[in-house]
Parts: sequence; C-alpha cells; structure tokens
Amino acid sequence: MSRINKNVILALLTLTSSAFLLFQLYYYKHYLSAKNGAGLSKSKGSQIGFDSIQWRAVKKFIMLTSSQNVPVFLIDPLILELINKNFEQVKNTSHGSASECKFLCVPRDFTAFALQYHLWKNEEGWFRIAENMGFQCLKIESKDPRLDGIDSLSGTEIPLHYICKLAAHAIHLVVFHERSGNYLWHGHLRLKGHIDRKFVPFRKLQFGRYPGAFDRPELQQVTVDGLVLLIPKDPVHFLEEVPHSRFIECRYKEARAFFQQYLDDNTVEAVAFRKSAKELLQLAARTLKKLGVRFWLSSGTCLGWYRQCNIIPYSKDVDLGIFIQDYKSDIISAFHDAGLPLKHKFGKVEDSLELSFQGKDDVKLDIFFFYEENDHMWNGGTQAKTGKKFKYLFPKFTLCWTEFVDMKLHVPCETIEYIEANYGKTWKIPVKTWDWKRSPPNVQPNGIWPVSEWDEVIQLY
Amino acid sequence: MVVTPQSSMDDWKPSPLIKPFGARKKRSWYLTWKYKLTNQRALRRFCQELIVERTKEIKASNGRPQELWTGAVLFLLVTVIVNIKLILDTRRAISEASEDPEPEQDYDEALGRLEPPRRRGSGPRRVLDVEVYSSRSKVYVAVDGTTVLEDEAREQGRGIHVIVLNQATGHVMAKRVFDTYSPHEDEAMVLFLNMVAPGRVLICTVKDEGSFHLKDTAKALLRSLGSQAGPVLGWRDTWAFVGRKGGPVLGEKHSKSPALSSWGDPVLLKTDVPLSSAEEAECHWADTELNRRRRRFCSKVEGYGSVCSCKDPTPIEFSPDPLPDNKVLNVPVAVIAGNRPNYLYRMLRSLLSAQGVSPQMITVFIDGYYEEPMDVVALFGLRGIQHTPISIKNARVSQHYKASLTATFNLFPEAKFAVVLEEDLDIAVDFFSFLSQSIHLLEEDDSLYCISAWNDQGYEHTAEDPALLYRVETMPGLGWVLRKSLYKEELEPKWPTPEKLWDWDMWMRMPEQRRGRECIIPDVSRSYHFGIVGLNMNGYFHEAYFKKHKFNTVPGVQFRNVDSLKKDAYEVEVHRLLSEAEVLDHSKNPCEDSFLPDTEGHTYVAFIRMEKDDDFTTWTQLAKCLHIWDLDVRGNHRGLWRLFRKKNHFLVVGVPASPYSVKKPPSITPIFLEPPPKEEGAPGAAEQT
Repeated sequence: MSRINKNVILALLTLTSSAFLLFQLYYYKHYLSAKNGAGLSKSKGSQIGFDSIQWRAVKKFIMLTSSQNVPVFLIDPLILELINKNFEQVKNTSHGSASECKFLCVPRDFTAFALQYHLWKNEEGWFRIAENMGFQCLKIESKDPRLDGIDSLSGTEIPLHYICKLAAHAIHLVVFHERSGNYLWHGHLRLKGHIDRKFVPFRKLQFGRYPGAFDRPELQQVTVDGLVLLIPKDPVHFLEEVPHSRFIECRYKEARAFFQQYLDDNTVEAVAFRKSAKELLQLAARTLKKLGVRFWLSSGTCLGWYRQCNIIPYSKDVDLGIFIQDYKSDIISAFHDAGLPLKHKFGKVEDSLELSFQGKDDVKLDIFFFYEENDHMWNGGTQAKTGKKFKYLFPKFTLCWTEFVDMKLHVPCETIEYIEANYGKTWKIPVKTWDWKRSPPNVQPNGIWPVSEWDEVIQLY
Repeated sequence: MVVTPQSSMDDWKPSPLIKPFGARKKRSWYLTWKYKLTNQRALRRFCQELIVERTKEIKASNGRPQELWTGAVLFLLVTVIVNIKLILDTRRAISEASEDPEPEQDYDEALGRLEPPRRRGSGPRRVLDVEVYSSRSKVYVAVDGTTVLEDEAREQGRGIHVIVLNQATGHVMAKRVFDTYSPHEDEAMVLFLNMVAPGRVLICTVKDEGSFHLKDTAKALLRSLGSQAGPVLGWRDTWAFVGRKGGPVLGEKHSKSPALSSWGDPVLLKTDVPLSSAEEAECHWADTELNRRRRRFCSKVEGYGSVCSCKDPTPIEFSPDPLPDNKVLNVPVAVIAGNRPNYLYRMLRSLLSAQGVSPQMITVFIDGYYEEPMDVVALFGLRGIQHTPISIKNARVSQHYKASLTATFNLFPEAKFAVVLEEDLDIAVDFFSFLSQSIHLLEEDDSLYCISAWNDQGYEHTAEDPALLYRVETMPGLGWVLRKSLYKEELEPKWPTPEKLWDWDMWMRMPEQRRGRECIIPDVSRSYHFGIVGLNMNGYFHEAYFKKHKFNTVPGVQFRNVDSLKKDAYEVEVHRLLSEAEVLDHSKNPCEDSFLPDTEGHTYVAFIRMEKDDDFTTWTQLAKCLHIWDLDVRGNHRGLWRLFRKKNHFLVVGVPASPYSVKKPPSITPIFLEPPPKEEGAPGAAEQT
C-alpha cells in the first residue's frame, strides 16, 4: 500500500477520533450536569474505600435481592467475624452514615450469603434479572435428599448453590433447605462435567465442600458499610457451627438393599420398640443439648443408622457416646429430672465411665464415655459380677451431623472404620445374639477393678 | 434452569451492538449508551476494543513523518485516557443510578432482545412415512419405522385409536382410544378432536368394533376432516385414516364387514406425510416466562384446548384473591396423581384458582414415570415428583399414598398438617377458606380424625346450606386434611405393606386406625369428583353416585358457629336440633316425596330401626330410595344422619342404638324397611379412587 494512502488513513482516523472525543466530552458534560453529582459518592468526598469491587458487588447483590424479595442473609465467616468484633459500632451506625468502608471492602474472593429456600416465593425469573444486572451466575442443582429415604421417588431437582460473579468478585449464595429435625441443610457443591472450573476459584469457597447442617438461625437487621443486611442474631453461635457443620446423609439405597435381603420386622412389638426407642433418643438428645454436651450415636444405634437407616428392633437399648472431656457432673441429675433414673454406673470419670438410664417400656439408655489416646480412642466396660474391666478400641474419629428418626444428630464421620472396629467386616449381616464381652472384635480385657473400689465403680440401682 | 457461564454469555451477548469496528464504533458507543450501559462486561469489552483499535492505528502509522506521528500518537493517547476515565465514571454513576427502579426496565428491554429458543427444522428429511394398520384383533401405527402404537391385547383397546403428530417434528403429541362401541365415547372423541390444533397430523385406526355408538355428530366431524369412510363406518368395519386437521387427507383405507358375524379384512395404510416448518407449527406468543412454559408444553402434547390456542390462549397463571388471615397458607398440598394428565390439568386449574392457594406449597406426586402428567405440572410451574410403581392395583395406590405423604412431611418438616387431593377432583373456590376456618379444630380437638371437603351424602337434592358443618364417623377422603402427628405416630409405622393389597382409604376407615375419631365435613362439598376412568370407577358408577353431587361455587362463605363442632359442643348442638325438630308422620312411606311437608327451613326428624351399632338394614334401604350413597354406611354420627330434603333439615335417628333415641316420643314406632331378597351385589366396588 502506498504511503500516501496510509497518511490519508491516519489523518482520517485522527479526524474521526477527534470528532469522537468531542462527542464524548459533550456527552460527559451533559451527563454530569444532568446528574448534578447527586448520585456520585465521590462528590461527597468524605467516604473512603467505597469503590472496592467487593463492596460494589455486595451492594448490587443486595439491591437485586431486595427488589426481587429474595430473603438472603449474610453468612460469610470473615465478615461476620469482623462485624462481631465491632458489634457495638455496627449497632450504633444508622443507614448511610458510614464514612469508611470497614467490613465489606476487605479483600477476598467471595462473599457468602444464605437463603432459606422455603421462604423464597419467586424463584423463576430471578436468575435472568441477575444476569441482566451484570452478574454472571452459576446454579448448582441436585436431587432432593429429603426424597432419598422414600422408596423410588424422583422429583424436580432443587437448587443448592448459586455463584454470581460481578467483575472480580463473586457472591456465593448457599441455599438452605428445611429438614426434619428442625434444622437447615445445604448441599455439596459438586461441579458437574460441563461447568467451567475456572469460573471462580472454587477451592476458596467457605461452604459447599461438604453438605452442611445448621440450627435454624434467628436473624437481625444491621447496617454495615451503608448497606442494610440480615445476619444471624447470634453470630458467635453461627460461627462456631461453621467448622463442625459437615453433614452425612444416611445410606438409604444400601438400607433398601438390606431390607430386600433381610426383610424389615414390622411386627407389633418391633413397631412399639422403635417408637419407644425413638422417644427415648429424642428425650436424651433434648436433655444433653440443654446441658451443652456433645454426643453421638454409638454401638447398636449407630449400626442401625448406618446399615438400615432405622432403629434395630431387637437391639433393646439406645447407645450414645460422649467424649470424657465433655462430661458434666449434672448429667445424672438432668436425666433424672427428665424422667430417666440412673440404672447403673460403672467406672469413674478417670477410667472406663459408663452410665445406664432406665427409659420407659423397658428400653435402656447406655452412655459410653470415650477416652482419647495418641493414636486411638477407647471406651470401657465393666462386668458387674466379677469386676472385670474391658476396653473397646476405636480408630480416631471426628463428628459429623446426620439425620436419624427425624432428628439432627452426631455420628462419627469415619463411620465405616468405627463400625468395623466394633462389629468387624461382617457388620452387614444381622446378628441377634451378641455378647458384649466377647463378640466385638475391638474388645480387650483390661484387668479388674480392685475390690476396694467396687462400691464406687459398680453401682447398680 | 442450569445456565453455564458459556451459555449465559451467549444469551447475554448483544452482539450487533458491539461487533462493528472502525468508523461504526461511534454508533456502537452511542447505542450502548442508549441502553444505559448496564452491562459492565459490555463496557470492559468495549474499552478493550477501543484500545486495540488505537494500537492498530499506531502500528499502521509506523514510519510517518515524525511530527505528524508524535502528534497523532499523543492525540490518540489523550483520547484513550479520556475514554477510560469516562467509562470509569459512567460505570460508577450507573451503579449508583440503578438504585432507582431502573433495573426492571432494563430487564424488560433485555428480554425483548433475547431470541426465543427455537428449534431448527429437522435437517434434510422433510417427509414422514406413516404406516397404519387396522384389524379385528390388532392395530398399530409406525412413524418412520418406529412403532408408536401397537395394541394386540385381547379384550382391550376396542374402538377408534387416535394419534396426533406434531406437523413439524413428527413427535407423538397425544394418543387416545375411544371405545365407540360403548355409549358416550363418541362424545369424548368429538371433544378431543375439536381441541386438537389446526395443522396437526391426525391418525385414526379401528380395532375390533368402532361404529356401534358412533353417532351423527361424530360422523359429521369425521366428514369435516375430509374422511370418506369415517362417516359411513359400519359394524365391524376396519378403517385407517391419516390427515391434517383442517387440511388435506393424506391417506385412507377402509374395508367393510361382509356379515354381522364377521369383521372387515385387515387394512394397512402406507402414506407419506410432508412436514411443515417449525414456524408454522408454533404460535407467536409474547416472550414471557409464562409463555415459555406454555410453548414447551404445547409443542409436546395435544388435547388441552385453548391453553395452546395461538390467538387467545387461556391463562396458566391465576391470581385468585388472597385470603385474609389465611390459616392454611403454609400447609403443604399433596396432589396424588396417576396417568390421567387431562384430569390433572383440570384439577390443577381449579386448585390454582381457589382463593388463598399458595402454589409453592403444592407438590404433585405422579404414580409412575409418565411424561405427560409431568408436562402438565411443569406447565403450571409446580413441583412434580414421580414414583416408581412397586406393587399392583390397590396396593400400588396405597404405596403411592404412603410415599407421597412421607415425602410431603419430609419436604415441609415444619408443617403440622397436609392437604391431600387427588387428580380427579374439582376444588371449590372457597376450599382454602373452608380449611382456614376449620383447621384450628384439628389442633384443639383430638377426637377428630380429619377435615374433609367431601360430604358423601351431599347430593343436589340432599345438601343445602353452604355455611353448615357436620361431624361424621366415616372418613370421606376426596380432598382432606391429615394431621402430621396422626400420620407419623400412628399411620406411617403400620401402613399396609405392598403384599397386603389393601385400599389405603378402606384401611384408614378401619376401627383399629380410626379409633372412634371423627371427621369434619361441610354440608355442601368443597370438592367435586369428576373422574370417570379410574381403578374402581366406571361410567355407570360415576353417574349413579357422583354426578349429582352438590358442589359449592359461592366464594367467601363464612361458616356458622365453627366451634360448635368440637366434641362436647356438638352434642349440645345436636340435642338442641333434636329438641326443636318436628317429628314426621311415621305412618307415611319415607321413600315418598310427601314424607316431608312442602315447607322450607324447617327441621324434621324421623326414627328408623337400628338394633345395634352396626345394624344399618333400614338405613341402607332408606339411602337407596333417597338416591344417596348406599354402598356402605357414610355420614353417620352416633346413629344420627343429617341431610336436607326439600330445603328442610332432615334428621334420621337409629333407634334404639343411637343415644339420641331418648328424643323419640313414646308413641312413635321406628320405621323398618325390609331389604330386598338377595340378588347379585351392587355394581362396582364401594369406594372411591
């Protein structure tokens, strides 16, 4: 191409650009005069940090949800922590008077909000509006776990997570679903095949690595950095729940297979026992919750949950485990007040403690206290007649939530190891005769109580 | 609606506004400006383009006279900087500005820009080859070699089989059989064919016999479709027909039966059906969320009439008035359904039109993996759950009920009650108002078993007062409220297992379950049972026992004295009624109309013989001659029945079993009606499905 031509092109381009520039300047001026600086936070000159992308994304998200009546509340641990620390200050700031962006402008990749699905009236269409406001949204759906326990139902999928990205910041909206047992559940954020794994740094998400269970929080309204937000009324409690919220679902499919092989016992006695055992478990759970004592399903009750998602009708008692460091001296009196008198007490707090309470209809509640060693946990047993001690060894475990007979309860997260330690590899096969001194593969003789201590360590009522 | 980032990008891209380069960029900028620059990504991209453009220009001018060069570059740099500043500022300004109701406006604009998801034509193949076979014992229809209908079962599928194909895709949209050998089925066929949209491909074929009750209206309709043989279809003829609704006949074959005792020869019709374009097959409704649901539905199924009408489609969203102080707003509603999608459609329409309904509390439980009922559920934007069948006949229904009820309480763990409905019910406009006014009884009175919208004895001639409630010992079902504690603590643990083959409702009525508790019912039913096809249902049975049922159509009825329905208060009420009731002339025949005087608004009482609590001999005969439910005993409360005759409240007391026998004047001899000599039993089983 000749140089002249290029010159001409350059000149033309420059001309166009200058025309363009003039045009823009004109519009800019026009725009500013129209706006009169009213909406521009900058023009006030007194506010600091409000141009951070985090604050903008949160603000836009709050605008979206309030205009669409989406009842969201803030659950972001980082921000809740900050709010909690400065709660006095947050309480005293009214809307709009914030002068410095202190909470929502903290650098981070995500801001986590939650939503109670059953309170959400207009799910349809919300998504589209979000996208039209500039959010790029991702919806993670899954089948409804509340239908898993029921034979062969398949329904509409339920939303578990929304991730809405605005520029470099993303809002993570965790969808909480109500479950039987008065708690809220959120699902596992599982990335299906077609999802862009680089959409957001998924690994940094605070929620969704596992399913989770939370107490239903009461909410309060606060003004944070000029934005009106709902947060849990008791942020401390919520923050405490977060690290221990992991939830495991009962293995309903395997339980159905189990019942196909062994048939469920639906005799009048079995139905009656299950009912009383359930009531006893509910009563025990209530009592221990009031005391603030953590407990989990142990032994036969745990096996029943894991193998058949139900109470084993011939088990004749309810078994719970408690870490000895959670022991409180008023457990016995609390159970007594709840109508469960002490039946026997073996061992002592320092060694092999085991409590047994008498429930209604001849159903017994056994509480085993667990002691932690370097590489294992154990609980003790005592033979009343001979004073012989036994030790039941378990690999170390942590606690997870699950749902059992319409309650939110703890079970060992490492359930299979726990069950196999207690019942061996053949735990799947129902056994009706079980000798607690010989049958468990993890039992070890542990000497004998000195006769002088018998009065203390063997108490029968 | 899972939207991947990719697809969301595609949806979003207002590409015509962004693509142009060079000179056209001004227009692009201007247009983007016009659309208020809501989309930040648009801005970012726009900004990048500007920069790229500038860089290109800079490169292009490489080697020019230095002064011009530097001047241009400087100038361009300034342009870029001003641009960026402008963009940053406008961006901030816009995010401030969108606090106004503007986003909605943008939303609408954006909607207008979005292309509706259209199916493209199905490639090069534009012709379907269709085979239709008609004979005495077998019919089949194959489209492009795929069998879409095959029926060679004995003793089944008699009559005219009709298949509707989508004229653009060839998909089967409806499949029906009308047993036009039997009465009234031709009317159903006419109704159905009239609802099919013009342009659809209709296929008809006869199995066994299809002419005996094919009346003139139906024949005229077939003639209007262009059929030659249809209007003259004779006894045991075979007939196969393919045509476009309102358009040309595409093929027809017919074989006359040579004699009364024999059938026409089997006919096999092979014909080509040209496909039309997708645009022709679809309506051009405004692109809204609702119409998207409608479009999805209407391109899949046929036979729902005006919901798919192009011109004036019937609404699929109803906004009935909310109920003030609605006590049942948060009570889940379980709709138990099978594979009767047309029924389900009718049922859901009436349900969603009832005052005080909350759609998000409704779950439809479909017994089986049927697509069409799911399509109906999706049309109305409701939650649907399918249930794999695990048992047969009644036991299957019963297992379906159990799974549905358990699921309902799982899905709504905070609910204390659930409303249970079936797919073959019309729901009264004040159904929820009725429940809202009465639900506290279920909470406060543990002698109650349920609240039901259905009065077994509430026929046109025996029900009168829409504001009146009764207590009855029987459980009517057909639209009722179940208490969670009753289900969870009593019913669920011992629900009949699949091998028991029990009816769930019969089981629930057994004394072991009911344990003396009663149900609250209205005098005038708040549900209407319209189902004719069902497990325990046929046309005769429906006509005899359900068709003439009274159904409330008045909105906002206030029930009288609801608290008098509580256990003890009700006894007081009944005693008051009996005391003021005029004793009828017991010498007259109670079956005669003249048994009651020609008055209005009086209360009358009659005493019938009832030796023991379970002696219903006279009652059954009386029920029979009054043309009310007589297949088992319904509607009684301690040996007392309450109904209306000739606009008078009519009480019947069983003497001496009823405690109300004390109200009988000594001079009156209780009426005794002899049961007829034993013949064969009543038709059909005595319960509702």
